[in-house]
Amino acid sequence: MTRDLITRTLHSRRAKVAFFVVSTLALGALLAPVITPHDPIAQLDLVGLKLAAPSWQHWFGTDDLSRDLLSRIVYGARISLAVAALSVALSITCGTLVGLAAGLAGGAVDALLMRLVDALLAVPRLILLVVILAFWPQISLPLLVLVLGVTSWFDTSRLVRAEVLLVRERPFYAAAVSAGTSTGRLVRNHVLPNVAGPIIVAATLGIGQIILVEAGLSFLGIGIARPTPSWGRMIADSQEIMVSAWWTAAFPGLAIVVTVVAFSVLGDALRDALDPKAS
Amino acid sequence: MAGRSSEPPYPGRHRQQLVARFLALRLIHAIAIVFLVATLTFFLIRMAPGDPIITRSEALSVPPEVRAQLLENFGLDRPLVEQYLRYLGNLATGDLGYSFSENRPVTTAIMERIPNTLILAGLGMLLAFGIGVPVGAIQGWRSGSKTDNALTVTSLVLYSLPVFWLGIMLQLAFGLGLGLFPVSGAIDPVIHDGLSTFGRLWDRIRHLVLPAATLGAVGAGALARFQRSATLETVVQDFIRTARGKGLTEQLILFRHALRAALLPSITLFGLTFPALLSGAVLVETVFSWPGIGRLIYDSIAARDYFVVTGTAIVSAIMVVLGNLVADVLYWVADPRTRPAS
Repeated sequence: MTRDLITRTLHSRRAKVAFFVVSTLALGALLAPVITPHDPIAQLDLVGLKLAAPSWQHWFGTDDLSRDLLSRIVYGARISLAVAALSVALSITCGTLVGLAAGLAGGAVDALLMRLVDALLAVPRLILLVVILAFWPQISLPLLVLVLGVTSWFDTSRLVRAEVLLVRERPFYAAAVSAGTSTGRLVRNHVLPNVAGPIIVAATLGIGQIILVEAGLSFLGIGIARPTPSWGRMIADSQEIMVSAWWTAAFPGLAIVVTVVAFSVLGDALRDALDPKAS
Repeated sequence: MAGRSSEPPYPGRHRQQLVARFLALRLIHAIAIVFLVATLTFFLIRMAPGDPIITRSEALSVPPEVRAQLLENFGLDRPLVEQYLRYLGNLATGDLGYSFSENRPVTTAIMERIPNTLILAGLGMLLAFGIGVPVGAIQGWRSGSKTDNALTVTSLVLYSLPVFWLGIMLQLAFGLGLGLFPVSGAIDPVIHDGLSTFGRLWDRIRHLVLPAATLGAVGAGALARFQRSATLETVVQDFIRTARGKGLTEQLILFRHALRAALLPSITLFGLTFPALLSGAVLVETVFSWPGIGRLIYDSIAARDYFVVTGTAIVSAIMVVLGNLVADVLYWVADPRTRPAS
């Protein structure tokens, strides 16, 4: 089943390329200290190498502090991918639990949880994150993951809740309940298998979206502190100098685009593989 | 109006009551959401360690007695419950607090900038729908074709672009490189006042081009993706097969039958895209120094301006809730199936 799913997901050339890109990025992020030509925060030569254009020595050029952009971007992938993967894992867990709770409990609990979701969805996501994070003196990686995770589960919870309600309508549910089957077992056997597919798709697309949100936040000055390289912050910092050094703005942005496109393509491919009639 | 005959025949009066009840319910729901948002923002912003004056004092090094005075002035030394009740009371009268950095009420600062945000976001949305929906419909109608593939890749890339980065790239190319459009602000501060009425309008339009194009391009990518799958779902339905069976031309089927049904979801999308659009506006306004509420948020982050951040969050939620209300009403008008039964 799993093997079959992988084959069908990677059927198209587009999906194969996306899978290759994602694997390369993940590998690059893991092996960053080994493969990067320079230390990402080392100021190589403030006089001679300040804002050096792309060259054979510095493929992506250097920034205003003479730091090697390629090395910074590879290290930036670590932050982006780690934050995204961990936040998505957290948000899926939260969303599943809330969705199960709302769907199984019903009544007032359900109404309360769903109104809470409505309210949280009414605040534009970036503004919600600004409210939560703007006044922290320093933002650590765990804090960022926690906040991104607990502000991204709304869709998943709706998905799971809808599935629970659907299962509860079915005749076998009443039969199973009257036969004394435990709720845990019902959830495991009848709810989770049905939502697993949509959740995997949402998670894959979610990684790309979280990378965009995280970059947007760092662009606004809310993110992992300097000098740790982060793609969004690199773009923000480039605004002052980009007129004379376009590469400082262009390459970090391209890194984001390539990563997000790759995850989106994989997410689409997974959806098509899980639901053949969608394409 | 093909659906006319299938509609339950409401007597006029009864129908009016239904409409009134529907609107009243939606309104109560909307107010409840805004109340919840106000409560959430109040507590969420206070989860950060310290108080706003302490974080501000990092840069300013405020003496302790001045800080105590400031906390007292803004009521920040009171117990949390009292602060919360006072905050809700103020909110009910439209008072969102006082801005440290602008030295004036937050409500005034926000109100002054809302028109700029609405112009930018409105034009962005118009571009996004105007381009995204037809493109997505064509893709869905001709799914699997070369055109569809090319457009799928294009919309995917647009949808995956960090909106602020696209803005910077357009600034570099069309503003600084080619010198075609201004790259910051809503007007030219030097020459604007000396221009004729037409000249001033033209000045404003020139300043709008790049920010609106940025916002519209990313939105169009998302909408095309959505419209493509909505169209795909429609074209396999029975009434399309029936239309084909009747021997209608492809054009007639597309415009008279498929598009009409497939456009319905994009009304919902009008409500759904609104929050995303405002998130995007925060970033785009920051890049282009556009004097709207997004730029205000950015400035107030840097200035550690507590009440401006909570105020903009609440105002943006009100805008979203109103947008959803409009979408609900539009849907109600457009699709008889969603109307409440008598």
